[in-house]
Amino acid sequence: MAIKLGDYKTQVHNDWCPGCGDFGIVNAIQMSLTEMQIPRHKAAIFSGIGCSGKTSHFINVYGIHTLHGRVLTFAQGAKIANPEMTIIAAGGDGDGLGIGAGHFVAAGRRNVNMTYIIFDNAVYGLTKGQASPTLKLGEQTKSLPNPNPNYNVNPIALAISSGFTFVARSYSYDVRQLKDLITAAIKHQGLSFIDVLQPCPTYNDLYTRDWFAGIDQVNEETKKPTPRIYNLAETDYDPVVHYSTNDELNEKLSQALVKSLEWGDKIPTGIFYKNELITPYTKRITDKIPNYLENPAAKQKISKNGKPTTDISKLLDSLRV
Amino acid sequence: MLVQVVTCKRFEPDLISIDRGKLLEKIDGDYKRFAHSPDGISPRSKLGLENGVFWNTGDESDEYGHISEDPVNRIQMMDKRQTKVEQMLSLIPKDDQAVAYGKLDICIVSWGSPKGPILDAIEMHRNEGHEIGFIDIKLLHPFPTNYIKSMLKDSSIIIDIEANMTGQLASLIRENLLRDPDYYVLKYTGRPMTCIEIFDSLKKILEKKSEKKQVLTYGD
Repeated sequence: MAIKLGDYKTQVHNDWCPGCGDFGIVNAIQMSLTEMQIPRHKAAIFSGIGCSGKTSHFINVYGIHTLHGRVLTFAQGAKIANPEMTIIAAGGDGDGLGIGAGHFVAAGRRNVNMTYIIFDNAVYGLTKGQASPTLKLGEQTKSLPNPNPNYNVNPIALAISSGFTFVARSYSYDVRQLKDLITAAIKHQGLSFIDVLQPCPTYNDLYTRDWFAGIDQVNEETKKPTPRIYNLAETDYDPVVHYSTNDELNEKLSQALVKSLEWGDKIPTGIFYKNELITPYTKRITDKIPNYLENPAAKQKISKNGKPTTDISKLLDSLRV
Repeated sequence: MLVQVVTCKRFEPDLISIDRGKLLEKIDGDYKRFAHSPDGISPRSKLGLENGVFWNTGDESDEYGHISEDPVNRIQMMDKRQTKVEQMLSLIPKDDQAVAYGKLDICIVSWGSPKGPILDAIEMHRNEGHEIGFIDIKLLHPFPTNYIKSMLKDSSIIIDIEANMTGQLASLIRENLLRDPDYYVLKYTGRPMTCIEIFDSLKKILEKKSEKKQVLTYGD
């Protein structure tokens, strides 16, 4: 029997602010799971700490609300132990690019076959709107007493340079595009990353829905706003690394890095970079453990009738003196 | 702190048994990861188990694992966890709670790394005709109050020996046994204690020449 969208919803009261961009992300994840018909017990959402951390409670699959900045560590462990499961990590930009930046970089190097979604609103919304790592130097959002004294992290560029093999950006009010990107990210063989621009209506009075819609950029002829957000898929931009040559790789990496710097009047969304020629972590493990996929850690029985199934007698023999 | 190689008896895996507790292999119907139960322990699912979907959070949660700020639920869940803490004392083997090396009128209490040099020092005193007991406390929380109390019931002098400045174990003893150790021998230079400096400090106590607190300094 087909799984319906409603099956992926929980009854938990949602206390996000009215108009919060997070709603669009939760809806898109649920729509993607429905589209892919992933059984509820075969998917797990891991979340970090912050407003975004509550995401796991709103989706009716395994939900693990973890520690600040540590969501990737839990999620990668779960995926490696349960390679048949669909694992999605969700967290904020403060969570993943501030305290979690070390794990972000380390995860890129591993390329575990899972998806990481960052809810990027440039503020710490849960704790009254302090500047987060993606707020740009000199910008001053509502609750800052002074302009931000720190330079920003560029999530797309950091992901590309850390080894993520699927790097995309989306916008939380474009739920359809986001759903398509999440589905593509889940299907990607390797670590996929989606930076979702997500207006915080309570604390970020710079990157508002109206700002993204470009109501300050009215076209003189049509008298209509010129939206800042545009979709790379509707241009001739090709994010895919097609061949394992240095020239091809360098071209696709550098065009993605240059594209990641585009901001202001025009903001690109869609897939920036996609490379399935880098071995996913699954392959790196099966090269060492050929039956890993049939017998991953989570399926192994550690004991039988109370006795350990692992024979360590040879190890003990080697320690004999 | 000390790096050393010791020869020990061969580990025999057959002598231990693995008990995975209330781990479920199959689930039918509605499942609550943190369901109330008399012993406070809920049967646990694992990732990927059909009908076994659950939620985890660091916030207070309801029986499903969802965040809850309901005051009645909060009290139930706090009591549930406390039930587990209280059961630990009956489940943890006594030898893992505390070990007595002689329960005597004069008795040392300590924990952790000073154990070795303390055993050497009381052996040296025994050779000189003085018997000193020693309780090595291994479980600090939940504190095995009644067990330690029974071990110390015949001791008129308690000597607290610890590798920290404030006598952290002694504060637990004061809190739980309502008894203040008679002497403190403390070392907090970042270096391990030696049997000789412990021997000397015990000698001062036996000769009634010791202040309530002695601070050890040996080591360059």
